[in-house]
Amino acid sequence: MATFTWTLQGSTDTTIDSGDTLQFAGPDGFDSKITVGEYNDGTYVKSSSDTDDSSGNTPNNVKFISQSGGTSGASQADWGDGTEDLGDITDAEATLKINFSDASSVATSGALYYAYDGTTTTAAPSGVDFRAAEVGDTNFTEAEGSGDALSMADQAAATSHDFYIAVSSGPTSIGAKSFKTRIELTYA
Amino acid sequence: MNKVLWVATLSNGEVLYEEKGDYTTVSGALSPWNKLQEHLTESNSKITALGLYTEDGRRFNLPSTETNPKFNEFSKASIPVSYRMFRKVGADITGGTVGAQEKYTVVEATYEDGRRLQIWVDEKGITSWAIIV
Repeated sequence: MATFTWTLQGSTDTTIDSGDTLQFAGPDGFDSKITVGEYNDGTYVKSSSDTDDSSGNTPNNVKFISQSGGTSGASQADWGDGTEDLGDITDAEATLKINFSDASSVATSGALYYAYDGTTTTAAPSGVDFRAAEVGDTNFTEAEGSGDALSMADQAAATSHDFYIAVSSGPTSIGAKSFKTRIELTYA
Repeated sequence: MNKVLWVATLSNGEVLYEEKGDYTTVSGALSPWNKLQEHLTESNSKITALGLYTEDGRRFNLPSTETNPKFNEFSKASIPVSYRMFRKVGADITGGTVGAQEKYTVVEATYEDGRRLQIWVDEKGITSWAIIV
């Protein structure tokens, strides 16, 4: 059976379970606000009962710094060691690990990851800047709506496939923001 | 176990069904579709018709390359040059649920001009769509 398992990576990974929310938060930790025009200083898993499921797991955080200000036009981000070129991030330092598994050995292709408004997959989230990159990418994709999705690399036949994704988000207007992110892929 | 399965007719006359005979799912082994690709190479054959079926008798067929159609419209229809099957899965992550993922089994016929006809069948084998891409 084809199954996705998505985790927020950290010193201990936090599985994002049914009903959980991936939270991008400000400099004051879980549930804190991000200033308009700024990006996340923390990433957390919020349970359906509004508690921090990632507490104690030292969750990874990738903060967008610039789209093309790095070496040879690379994007820049801060994942805990100051500003670095995005291309230097490792699998373990990425925000998300999305695992796709199947009983038999299948190849994956055309994998996409993007944020949308929660209703219409082609619609960008409102009042939010959302950036994503697969580990190995040199630049972020402004992955807002399926038409602007992050394209991820095809993977050869195996029973388990991991996708490592750095994500960063921030508000472009005042007020709480809620949106969904989505992965789609083809396998055979 | 998938509930919507492929059935392929080959140029050597074989009719092969996913989850039957050599094309059953074996944990950790190549998927039935990938086994079929190996068999096509080894037998120097190709797919001449491809469709989807369910155990309770539903069938979703692409146009075939066969030359003995029962109706005139089929004899005049364009003939595909190749076929493939894949499964498409999508899932919401933030605020989503594990059970909310959607899965479709898709068969695709490619024509000489590059256009592709796809039949998408949902995981329950009840609803289908045909699209040209």
